[in-house]
Amino acid sequence: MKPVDNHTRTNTKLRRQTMAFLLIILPSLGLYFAMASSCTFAVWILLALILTGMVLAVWKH
Amino acid sequence: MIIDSLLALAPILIILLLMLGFRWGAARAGPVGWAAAVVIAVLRFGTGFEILALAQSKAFLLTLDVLLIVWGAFLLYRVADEAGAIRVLGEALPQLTGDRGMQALLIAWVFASFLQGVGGFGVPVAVTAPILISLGFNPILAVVMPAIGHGWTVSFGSLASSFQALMATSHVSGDLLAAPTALLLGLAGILTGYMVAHVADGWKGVRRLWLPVLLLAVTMGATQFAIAVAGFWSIASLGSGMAGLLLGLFLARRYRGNNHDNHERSISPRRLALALSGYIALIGFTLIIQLVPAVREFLGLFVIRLSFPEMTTARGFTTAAGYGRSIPLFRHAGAILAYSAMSSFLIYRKAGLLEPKAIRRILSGTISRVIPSSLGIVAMVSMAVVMSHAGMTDALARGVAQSVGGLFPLASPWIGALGAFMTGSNTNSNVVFSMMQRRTAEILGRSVPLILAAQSAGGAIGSVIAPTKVVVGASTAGLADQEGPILRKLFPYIALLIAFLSLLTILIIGIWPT
Repeated sequence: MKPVDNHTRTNTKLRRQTMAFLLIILPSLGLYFAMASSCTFAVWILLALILTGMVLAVWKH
Repeated sequence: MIIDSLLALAPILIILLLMLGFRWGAARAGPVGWAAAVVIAVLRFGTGFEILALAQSKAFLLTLDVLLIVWGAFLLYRVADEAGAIRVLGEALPQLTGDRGMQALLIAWVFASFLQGVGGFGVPVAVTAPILISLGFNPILAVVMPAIGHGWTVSFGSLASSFQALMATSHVSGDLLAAPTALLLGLAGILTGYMVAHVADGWKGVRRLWLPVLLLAVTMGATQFAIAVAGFWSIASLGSGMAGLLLGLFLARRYRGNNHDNHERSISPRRLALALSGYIALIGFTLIIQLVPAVREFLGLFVIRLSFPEMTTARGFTTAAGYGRSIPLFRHAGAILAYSAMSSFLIYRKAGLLEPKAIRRILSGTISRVIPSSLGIVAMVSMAVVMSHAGMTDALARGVAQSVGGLFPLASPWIGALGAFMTGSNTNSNVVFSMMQRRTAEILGRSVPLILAAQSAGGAIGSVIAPTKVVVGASTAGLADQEGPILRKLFPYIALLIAFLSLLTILIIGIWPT
């Protein structure tokens, strides 16, 4: 097993945080339009994506 | 009612426990607080998924409003840092005065107050913390000092956006609100000055610098009061910051400390002006955009604005229909910071201060710093908006008001501070709580303008410890994930300031009851 250096660890953490941020922020905007078009299925999918982003953010870095 | 209030308080307590007790960063604690708010909102406060979805969309707008400033401030800082400007400022300011306490006062109190007048959310800490670190201050203290130092100017800062929100939502004239608000904040300003001296140099610093602190506090406070009472509240904070800078430069000559050794490596005025160019550009752009109506109108043509319907929970709590936060993209404080960053980049490049591939380093450095703070901010704002739309914020405030009864004036600043802590903004706190404060004051037969002033002043000071603001400061100081220790250091000072506001409110009520 290869040792993980600090730089790699920092990059992995940054990638995970970026992913979490995008999973929260983009569906939050999408929700407005999903609600405006009364597309319930899309609303649930977007809420699930936001929840995934929140879980990813809390995941131990 | 008590159970509602306690449950409404739970998400805040969870965040405090995680950040202060377990030393988690805001990026991890925020989502847990959000999850708690959502569960309680659904199970106890009858919030349907439609409200949750729309509240999350509103949170997007609020988050964008905040993040544009955070990203702009980082960008400006990274450009200045890449050109070596921060290092030059760090070398120049000790020449003005070698007294550590005086340096802290000039940068973390006077300059930070000025920046609050022109900038707004998070900018004072984001800009001054790196400068203080370059002067050799401990990074945590470098965030704590400007956080305390700028709090008293928040209500009239950002060209008085919080004060405008207070007027708009309480339906009380600015002429009635200006005097008590400026009075409370001006008196709190005296204490913030002494607190900055205390953080910088302990009681020794307070004893040595009592006179300059008093002179600066009286000058800045009186200027803000005079301008606000004259009806120009949008430039009250800006004017007081300018008055403070002028007096501060004069006082620095009298409190030079041990800077005689630095003469041999003095910095030329041209180099200093170059180093300051980004911040001079920031002031210039802000003044032009805010004070020239044609420019202001032209840049305000493109606005991001979404309309939201009325929302009512199963328990009957209603949020009125209306627009979410409007974002005039090209005249936003974040855009002004970006214009300043681009201008200073061109100036530095013309002066040959930037090395090849500077753009790449600036952008990668900015992204790696802003992502953790952005994550914390989006989670905290989402939590606050869910709480507000579920009626949890309202239940919490009513619980506080009812539990203190006739001593409500004592609680008013704490309610304002609580709102600002949760939403990260004095403006939002005023929007959420001002009508509740007004009605309670009317029921109890107390002075409505004074209670509203206490709400706004408490919100101003409380916004300083809002996790979203602390995240901004921590990030620029390179202390991502260190928000817990910063909050722990800030708490006693801020609690003391809000308690001071409580006492002032009850004292003034004794003299001016209705």
